[in-house]
Amino acid sequence: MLFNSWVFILLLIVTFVVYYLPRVGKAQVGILIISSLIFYAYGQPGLLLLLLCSASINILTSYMIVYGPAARRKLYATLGVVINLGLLSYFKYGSLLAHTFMDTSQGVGHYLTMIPLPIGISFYTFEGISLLVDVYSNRHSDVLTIDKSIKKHITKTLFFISFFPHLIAGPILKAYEFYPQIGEKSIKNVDWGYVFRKLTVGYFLKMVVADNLSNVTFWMTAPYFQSKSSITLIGMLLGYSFQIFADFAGYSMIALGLAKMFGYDLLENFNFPYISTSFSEFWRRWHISLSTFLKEYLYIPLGGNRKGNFRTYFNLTITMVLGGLWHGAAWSYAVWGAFHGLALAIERLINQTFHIKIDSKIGKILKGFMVFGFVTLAWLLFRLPFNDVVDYLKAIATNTHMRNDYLLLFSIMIYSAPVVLYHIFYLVPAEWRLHYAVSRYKYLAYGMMLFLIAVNSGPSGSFIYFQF
Amino acid sequence: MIRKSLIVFIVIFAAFNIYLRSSQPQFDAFQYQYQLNVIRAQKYVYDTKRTSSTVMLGTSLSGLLPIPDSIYHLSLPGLNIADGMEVIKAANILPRTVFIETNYFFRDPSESFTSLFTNEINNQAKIWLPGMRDQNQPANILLSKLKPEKKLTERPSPDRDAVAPALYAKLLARQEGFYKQVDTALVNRGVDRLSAFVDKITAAGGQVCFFEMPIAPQLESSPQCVIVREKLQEKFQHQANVHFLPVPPDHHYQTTDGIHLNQAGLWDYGAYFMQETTALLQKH
Repeated sequence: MLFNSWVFILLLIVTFVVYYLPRVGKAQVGILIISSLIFYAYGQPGLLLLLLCSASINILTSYMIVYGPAARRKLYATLGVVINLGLLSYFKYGSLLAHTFMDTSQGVGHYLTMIPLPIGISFYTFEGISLLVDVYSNRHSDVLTIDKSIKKHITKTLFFISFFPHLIAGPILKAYEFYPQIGEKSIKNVDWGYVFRKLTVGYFLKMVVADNLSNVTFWMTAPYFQSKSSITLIGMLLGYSFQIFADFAGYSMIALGLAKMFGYDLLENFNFPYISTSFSEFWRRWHISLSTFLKEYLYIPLGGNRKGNFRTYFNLTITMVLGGLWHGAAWSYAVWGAFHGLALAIERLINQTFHIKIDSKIGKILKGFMVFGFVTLAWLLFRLPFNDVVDYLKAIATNTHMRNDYLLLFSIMIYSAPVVLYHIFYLVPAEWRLHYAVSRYKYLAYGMMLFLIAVNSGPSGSFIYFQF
Repeated sequence: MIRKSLIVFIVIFAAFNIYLRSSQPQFDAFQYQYQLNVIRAQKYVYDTKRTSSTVMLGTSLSGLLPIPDSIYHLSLPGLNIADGMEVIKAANILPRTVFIETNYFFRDPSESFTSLFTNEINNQAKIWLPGMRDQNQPANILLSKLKPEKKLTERPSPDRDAVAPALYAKLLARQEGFYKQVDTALVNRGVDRLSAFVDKITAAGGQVCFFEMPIAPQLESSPQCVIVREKLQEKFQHQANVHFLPVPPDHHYQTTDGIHLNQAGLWDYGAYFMQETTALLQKH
């Protein structure tokens, strides 16, 4: 079910009304679980079985880690993590392995290519792993406790995994951040200002910016892009960079706003990533819930930066390669991750070796453009298979004589402008009059966004991150 | 802030719709191909002042064919004949004459496109609030002011959209691959769907004219083209008020990728099309 569909709006209204009815406080979590399961099963009810199966494994193993025999705690934790990763590998990477190592026209190879990718599996699998690791390590025992009552534990864990705002495309929740929030909620405590801001900006980014840009960047597909001029190709690449931000940041904001309507705080997933002046900063601002997950549950357990420089660079690269593969079952995603991993490692190496500090405004702006340029170029690996990426870059170099597609460039410009302005405004110092003026008349901007959602939305499309 | 924002929204939205309803401006711009389809379909379904009783159904092959205003262009690039038939169904008024491009007539309709016209709340909103139609999007209004739509008045130069020979060869080879295969079950399903539509038009006193868009000569004799022609002839050849406009023999039209005519080709074929169909249009 899409956040921008009428059927979702209907489900949301019904759930909200029932959730805050008097004397249903104790049933609130149950109401949200039922709504979440309807949300997930809509269109593909068979997938519900897989979600429930994944949740059951996490419920059982996390419970046994705490209340099972002490000598077997490690066994249960390992078993739980392995089953989670096994499910993810089977459904997500079976096809990749078959295409890489097997004959896909028959036998096991053919079977593996036919396995469908269940929506949201990458997200809820990681959430299950976070629960098991946190419970086993006892790192957050002050906030994360497993109920002795199995019934309560089932309810809480099923809710944690299935809560609809984050179920399909994140933000990836960590058990220690979410469990302490589970409880009775009152409509009086809903921060409507926050809900309104998140939903308006989120829907605007998705429906006006991303959905319109998606029709323009459609021409990045092979072989169509080969007949476009160099400037048009660069324009489309920039457009895709803004589209992917608007699509995913928009989704995350809607998720945050929806969760808040029901009294739950989800982690901010984006923090103006395109103003970053270094690669490490970019990853502190982009898909924050994934980068913190990878840091806590992969990079640090691998040794982080505690085992010497070479090992640190290796850890950074391998973490990013696996992070890349998490996005999709294609080697181009691994290459994308490797690029980012190498960029992080080289940046660290340069900083440690030369101790260069660039504090001037121009220096920071140039660094910002460099990081944005690299990130944007790397998005090509998200958009196209590896061979087509090479052809696309070749076409940029050779199609200089072709006629520019000004209609397409016009669309890219007008729909990218809100994302650019959104980032630029963040950089305006608070003491400037412009900042004051914009803050004072913010309601005009929100009113205008609502207007554009109503009259200038693109054709409704699913979110890019649904495929991950 | 919420209240103020909502007031701003309501005021702008109401003013915009009042302006559109009172002055009824026509904006011809579109930003991308899919939107061109939506605009063509929305105008057909919601525009009560539409006078044309002749409609052309097609795909991207005839999507940019220059035709007179008396024929309503319902050729939908990226979509199919079946989508155009659904649009006519949604408008609830049968045209008198329908030109149907045959090259890809058999393809299934797009569910997401046809569903745009099945929600009655959505339909009513678009009838009463013209601001919610795609042609009136602020971005299109801006675009139409910056670059007013100009109709071609003379034959464009064939060099205008020439494609590099190496790329053309690659694109043509790709099409040759597609045209080798024919899904007979899909074609038969398409014939049944088309037959029901044609029967409806002719039963109401209308007429249908099938036309095949010229493509690269080596594709025109491919298995797909041959089967498509045979199936249509077999079904409709002897039906009253059904006509066929074949591709002109030994033509020299050029395409950009094997199947889409270049602008000069569209101009030339447009002239041939009008010459051959004028008598048909006068009859009705």
